[in-house]
Amino acid sequence: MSQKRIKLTDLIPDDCNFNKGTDLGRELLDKSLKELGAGRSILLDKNNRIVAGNKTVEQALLSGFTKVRIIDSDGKNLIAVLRTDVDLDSPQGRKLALADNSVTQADLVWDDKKLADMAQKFGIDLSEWKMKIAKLVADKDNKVQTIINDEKELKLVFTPEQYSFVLNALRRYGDDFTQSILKVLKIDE
Amino acid sequence: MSKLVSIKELHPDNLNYNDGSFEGGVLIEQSLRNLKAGRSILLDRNKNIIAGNKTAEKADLLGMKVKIVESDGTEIIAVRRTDLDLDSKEGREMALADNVTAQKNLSWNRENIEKTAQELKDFEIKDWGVDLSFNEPELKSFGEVDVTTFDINQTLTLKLKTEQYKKVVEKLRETDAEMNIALLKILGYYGEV
Repeated sequence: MSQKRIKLTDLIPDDCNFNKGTDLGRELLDKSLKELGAGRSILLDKNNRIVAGNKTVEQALLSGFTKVRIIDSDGKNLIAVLRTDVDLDSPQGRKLALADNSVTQADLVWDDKKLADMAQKFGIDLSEWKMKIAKLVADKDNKVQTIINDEKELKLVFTPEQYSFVLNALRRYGDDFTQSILKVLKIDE
Repeated sequence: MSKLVSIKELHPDNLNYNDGSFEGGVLIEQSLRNLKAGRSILLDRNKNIIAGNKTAEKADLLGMKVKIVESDGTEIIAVRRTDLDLDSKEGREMALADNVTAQKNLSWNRENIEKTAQELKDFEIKDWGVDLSFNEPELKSFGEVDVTTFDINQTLTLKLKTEQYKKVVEKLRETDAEMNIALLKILGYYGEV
């Protein structure tokens, strides 16, 4: 396993990143890098193109990181980054554990168009990855395009009394509660 | 140079904040089996797994070993797959898998998070974008009562497009209240919250 250091700016971002990212995700990434240091690695292909961790690299550059250590791998075994300065059962360790999950969740917004294009180009069966395909539509040249259904569930927990109140309140806006919430919060459908 | 060791030498986090999900576990295994290992997991200095508990578990089941790379966190580390081209089916699937496995496998363990929050003063989960008021993955449909935990609370499930989801979460997080409380206030609820 060879290791060498190169400039972070020498990495090549994915020009077809499936993840658009979010402002909140960027904010949390920045906080995580500055307060906790770098966590698990990013992933590159053989040409130094970023397969996973594009947003991390963008934010790392803004946060003052300049170098990247490259660990070559053929993928047959797992790589583990061991933080010599961290105890899991310390504030820093616990925050790293939390941040690893929360940053990913906050930063993920699928780019349906890019995902659909790449799936079509490389023959990727999105259903194998539990990605729901909503419909196939024809564009102006009559080429069929796949549109991804990127539906997410938001679950809000209430006491029975609160729940009953919420349902009654939402019914004033219509029978579809999801649409009612969007109306209440003045969010375009 | 680090050597290859058994994944069994690593210690799973006994206070993992992520319970994982059945579907997430299937996808992680599928990713490791079909595309091999991707980005690294993260350990503390005593080989406790900070991030990637489920990945380590599945990799061990598949007979993989682990190479440990030490770091003090001041530099970014990149795993470079010498056999992978991003512009190939495998490369694009790996990019997809990295996101989709994380998304599908996340199910917050409220009890463990609250336990840490009680033990550590400086552990504000909202500072890290976590809101536990909307995480009940066992519930399948609108209004279903959580019989698995005999909890009398009820769950309102909204099916939203990702962009809408982000906007709804953003709106409901404009106040300091948890999102369920924020919605109650917006709707004019005057009862106890």
